[in-house]
Amino acid sequence: MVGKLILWACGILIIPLLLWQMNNETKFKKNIALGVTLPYEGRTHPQTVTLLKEFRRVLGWTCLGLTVLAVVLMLISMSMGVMLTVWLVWMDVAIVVPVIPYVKYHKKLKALKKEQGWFPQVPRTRVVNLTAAAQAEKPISPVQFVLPLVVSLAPLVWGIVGQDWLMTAMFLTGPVCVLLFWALYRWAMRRRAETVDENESLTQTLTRIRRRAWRRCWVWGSWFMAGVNLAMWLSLFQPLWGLLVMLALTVVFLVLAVGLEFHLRHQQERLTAQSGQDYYVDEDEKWIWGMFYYDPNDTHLVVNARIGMNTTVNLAKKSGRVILGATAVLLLLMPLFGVWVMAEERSPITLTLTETTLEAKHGWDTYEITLTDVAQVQLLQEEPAGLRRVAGTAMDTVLKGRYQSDEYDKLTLCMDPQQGPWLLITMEDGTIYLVGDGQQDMTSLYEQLN
Amino acid sequence: MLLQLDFNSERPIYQQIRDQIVLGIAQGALSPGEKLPTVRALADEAGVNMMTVSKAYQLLKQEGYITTDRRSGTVVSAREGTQTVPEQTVQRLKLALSELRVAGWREERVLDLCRELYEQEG
Repeated sequence: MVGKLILWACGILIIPLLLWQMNNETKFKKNIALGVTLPYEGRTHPQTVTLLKEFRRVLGWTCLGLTVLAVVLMLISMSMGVMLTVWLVWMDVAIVVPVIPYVKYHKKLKALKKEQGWFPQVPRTRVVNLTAAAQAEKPISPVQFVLPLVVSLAPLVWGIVGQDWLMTAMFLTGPVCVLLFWALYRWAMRRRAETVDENESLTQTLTRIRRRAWRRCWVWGSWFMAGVNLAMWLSLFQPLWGLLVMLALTVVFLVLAVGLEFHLRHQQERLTAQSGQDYYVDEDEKWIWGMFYYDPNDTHLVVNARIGMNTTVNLAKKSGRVILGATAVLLLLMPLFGVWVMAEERSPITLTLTETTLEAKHGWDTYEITLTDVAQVQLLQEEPAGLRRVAGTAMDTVLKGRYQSDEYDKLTLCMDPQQGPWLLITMEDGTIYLVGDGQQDMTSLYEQLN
Repeated sequence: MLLQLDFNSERPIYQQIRDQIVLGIAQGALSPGEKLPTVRALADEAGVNMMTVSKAYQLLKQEGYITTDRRSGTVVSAREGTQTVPEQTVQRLKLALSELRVAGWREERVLDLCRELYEQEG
C-alpha cells in the first residue's frame, strides 16, 4: 500500500510541474509566448491577452481532470503488475494530453500574428551575432567534475577489492555518468548566442546566464550521481538509510534543477521585458508547433530550446528524427514494462530435480544447481533475517536474483516468499542458494537431496 | 554586430557574409583592429559549414578588408586611404552603372543617388 501511494504520488507530481511550466509559457520571454514571437505591441494586444488567458483556463481544467483520474485509479485495488501498467499508461497520457491545448492555442496565436501582420522587417533570415561569436568562452576547470568522480569511485574500489563483480558493475554507473556529464557539458557548452534584438549587452547577458545554468546543471548532476553511488553502497549495509539518502538526493536534485530552470526563465522574462520595440529576431518558421526545430540549412544536430535551458534536436537531420522518434517510441512503449511485471508475478516458480541437477526456474530465469557441488542442504521454516535485495526481482509472489542477509551474507534467491519452507543450499565454493516453489513438498525434496 | 543570412536568396552564403562584414566596416560597426571570430566559432554561431566561412574570410583577405595573424587571429584591417580599389568592386560598379544607363538614368540622377547612398553609409 505504501509503495502504491509513493508511486502515484511521484506520478501526480508531474501535473503541478507541467502546469507550472506550461503556464510559464504564456509569459513573454525573448518576445516569445506559446512558441510564437510577437513584437512589443503584440504582447499587450487584447486578443493576445484573451488567447493566453483562455489557454491557462483550458490547461487548468486538463490538469485537474488528469489528477482526478489518477486519484480514482489509485483507489482501485489491483495487483502490482496491473497497477504498474495502469500507472505507466496514465503517465503517457499525462505527458501527452496537456500538449494538445498548447498546440491548439499556439496555432491560434500564430493565426492572430498573421492577421495582424506582426512580422519583422527582414523575414526568412538567420541572425548571426558576430560579436558574440568572437568572444572566446573558457570552459570551467575539469576539477569541478574530478571531485564528484573521485567520490563516485570509492564504492567501485570497494567492489574491486572485494572481487564482487556484480557490485563493481553496479558501482561503475556513477563514474560513467560523471564522465558522460562532463563530456555533454563540454560538447554542448558552446552554442548559438541568445540574440533577441540588436542590444549587444542583452545578448551577452542572456548567453552568459544560460551557459551558467547549463554548467550548473551538469556539475550538480555529477554530484547527484556520485551521491547515488554512495547511497547504493550504504544500502548494502543499511537498506533503510540507503533508500532514505537516495530519496533525499533525488528530491534535492529535482528541486535544484527545476528551480534553476524557472530562475533562468524568470531572468529571461525580466531582461527582455522591453525588447521587440524596434528590431527583433523572429525564427518561428523554424519551429514546428513552437516546439520542434526544423531547419535544413542548419548544420547543428542539437540546438538550444528557445526558452529556459533545455535543448532539442534539429528534425531536418536524419539523426535528429531518429533521436526524437526513439524517444517517442520509448515513451509510448513504457506500459510494456508493466505488462512484463504482470507476466513475472503470474509465472510460477518450478523446482525440477534430476539425477545431476536441481533446477529452479521462474519466467526466463533459470538457476541450475549441480548436485555434486552441493556441500550442505538445510530446510528453512522462516526467511533469513535482514533479507534485502541487491540486484533482482522483489515481488509479493517471487524473490529472485542477488540478495544479502544478516545471517548468510550473499545469497542467490528463487523463491515464493509467501509459501515456505525453503531450501538453503550451500555449495562447495561458498555460494548459497535459497529456493522454494510452494507447490512442491519441500520436506520430501529436502530428504531426497540429503 | 549582427549578420542576416538569407538561405532563400540566390546569393551564396559566403558572399552574404563577406558583403555584410564589408558593410559593417563601412558603417563603423566594425572598426580597424577589431577581432573577428575564428572560422570555427563563426561557423558554429551561424550553423553553416566551416568551408563557407573560410571562403568568405579568404575573399575578405584577398580584398584587403581583413588580415590574419597567428597571434591576434583575424582582425579588421586599417584601410584609411591606402588601398587601391579591388578589381571586383570596379566590375560591380561598372555593372550597376550599365544597368542604370539601360534603365534610362541620366548622369546627374546617378550621381545624386551615389551621393545619397554614400552619406547614408557614412
